[in-house]
Amino acid sequence: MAKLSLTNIWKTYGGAQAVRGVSLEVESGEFVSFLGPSGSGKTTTLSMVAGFISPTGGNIRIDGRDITNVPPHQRNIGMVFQDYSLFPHMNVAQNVAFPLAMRSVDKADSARRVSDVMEIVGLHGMGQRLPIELSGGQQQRVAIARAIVYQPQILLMDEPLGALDRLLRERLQLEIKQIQKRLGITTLYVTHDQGEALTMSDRVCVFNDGEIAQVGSPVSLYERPESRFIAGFVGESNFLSATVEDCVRCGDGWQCLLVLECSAKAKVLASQPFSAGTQLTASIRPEHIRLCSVDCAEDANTVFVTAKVNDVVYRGETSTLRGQLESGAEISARATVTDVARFTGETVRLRWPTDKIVLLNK
Amino acid sequence: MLDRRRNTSIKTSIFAHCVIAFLVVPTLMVIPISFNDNQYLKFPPTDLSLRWYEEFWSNPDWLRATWTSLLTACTVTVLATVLGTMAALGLSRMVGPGKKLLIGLIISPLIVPTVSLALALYFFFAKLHMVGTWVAVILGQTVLALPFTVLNVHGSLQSFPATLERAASTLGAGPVTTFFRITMPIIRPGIVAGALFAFLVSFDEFIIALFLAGPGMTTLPVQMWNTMQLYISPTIAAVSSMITGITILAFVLMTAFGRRSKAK
Ligand SMILES: Nc1ncnc2c1ncn2[C@@H]1O[C@H](COP(=O)(O)OP(=O)(O)OP(=O)(O)O)[C@@H](O)[C@H]1O
Ligand SMILES: [Mg+2]
Repeated sequence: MAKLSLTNIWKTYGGAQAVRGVSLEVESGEFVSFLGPSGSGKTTTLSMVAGFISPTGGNIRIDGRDITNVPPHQRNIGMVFQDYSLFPHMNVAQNVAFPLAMRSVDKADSARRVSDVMEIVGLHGMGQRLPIELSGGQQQRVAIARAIVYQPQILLMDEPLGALDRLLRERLQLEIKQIQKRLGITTLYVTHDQGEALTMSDRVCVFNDGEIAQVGSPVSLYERPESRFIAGFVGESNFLSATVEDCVRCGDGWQCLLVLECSAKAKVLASQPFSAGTQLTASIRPEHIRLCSVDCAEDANTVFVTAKVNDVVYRGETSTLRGQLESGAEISARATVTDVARFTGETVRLRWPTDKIVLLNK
Repeated sequence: MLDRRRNTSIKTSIFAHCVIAFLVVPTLMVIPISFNDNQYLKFPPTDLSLRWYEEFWSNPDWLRATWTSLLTACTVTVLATVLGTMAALGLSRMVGPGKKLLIGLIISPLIVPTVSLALALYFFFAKLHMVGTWVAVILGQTVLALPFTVLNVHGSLQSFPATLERAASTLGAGPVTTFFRITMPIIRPGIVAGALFAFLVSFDEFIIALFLAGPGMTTLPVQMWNTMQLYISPTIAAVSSMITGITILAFVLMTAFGRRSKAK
């Protein structure tokens, strides 16, 4: 239960900049995940919060107390690693009791807390086993128990589920989230998996190239990406170039008339006015693009394009159509009907509602 | 074709056994000789007797030498193990070309002829007026034993996951606690192996002890040498047998220990 703030954190290795000016406020009890491509600085940032490496610049505070130069063992932070990092020469109960022993908690109290936390992670009665006698999922539960038993102020997890199979991963995602909520522990969670980030987090912090590209709730990130990188990285997006024809005031925003690269026109709401002729990128999620059935009545709030279908990928509940517009731009659309494979090689009409278009700067 | 191959393999096998015999038999020969009831070193023994063992255990010179050797070997073992473990910990955290250079320097006593090393140490300690002191012998033999402890501990650190120390630190353990509670229990087989090697290196070390020891600090190998200068007594064979026995025992213990910790 603590507030964490990172202020303008830098980390350079020789000439290489691993983290470049990261600032982030994490509220008490909040679950924030770090998402981003490999090498974007997630682990480096987390390691600085843990205290394994010290920042080249900037500072880190927990509840206002500057911990930038405090060694890790004095930070009262819990951490869960991808490889579990259980102590192989201690049994499960000894592993979980280790942080309590470091805090000189008396024997009886320690035993009670260990048994409580083992209950929470669903490993009751396994205290006498050695780590190698447990499955990967169980080992990670022990690691979580060990990291929360002393009620650290901040919980850090670096791809904790990275080594587990998909089903187990999904189950543990829910469990971790429940435990985190129940204990109200401020959590930073690093992951490669955007699904994981979106389902678990209060806020997602997307890293790119050592910087935070965007921070926001899963919904805002998915529905209101601020850059082409975010639109393409969180979920899938189609990008079409768009030219502004003109913008008019509309409510407390602006309504702009755009000409898309397939020469279709669309009226789109924008938060700012653009001058005529401005080049923008219009981004549309594949699931908003539909195949036109026979009667595709023209409609001011819908964009229509024709595309040649190159291939159809069957994905169970949906299929993905991949095609090409006359302008040459690639486009992909989701179809919920199953017999779309027959459209391969044909020219079809696609449509999407104008309010699903997100305008991005070039 | 098959026959020829079998022929070759028989020849190889005979050759290999000859080599092993050449390595082992002379060492083992001293054992029957030591039980011989004869004034002279004679093989095969004529009459069985324990008189040369009795001679050893009733002679204060031999006993004092044994005691000196044990005390020296134990001190060297402690010194080399502590220093070697610390050096190995440091080395395992190093990256870059400096590391290779440092390892080379530390194991150089294995490469440099011991006589040269002993001579160098002699001049070095002479400058410090320390020739003939027990400390000089201890330090000299520690230099010789250090490569074994460093290499053994460094080897076992190779498979030690670095995140364990990080995990311990987030859980509230400072560096010293982490070493004693986490790192040391896990790398103990390497430390024990290094310590045993260090003990054996010191226990049968001869040249440095001969060069640097003063009167009254005669170690067992030096005492053997001194005795042989005067007359060849089968007592030497008895001492050799006992030293060989201790050495074999040490290795058996080490292997047993290694196997047990692996099974765990
Ligand atoms: N010790 C180091 N020395 C030099 N460069 C480093 C070091 N550690 C990390 N880097 C560099 O810093 C950058 C960020 O690395 P980091 O491990 O934080 O990435 P990441 O986002 O965690 O990636 P991944 O998702 O693959 O784990 C990378 O370009 C990496 O090469
Ligand atoms: Mg990483």
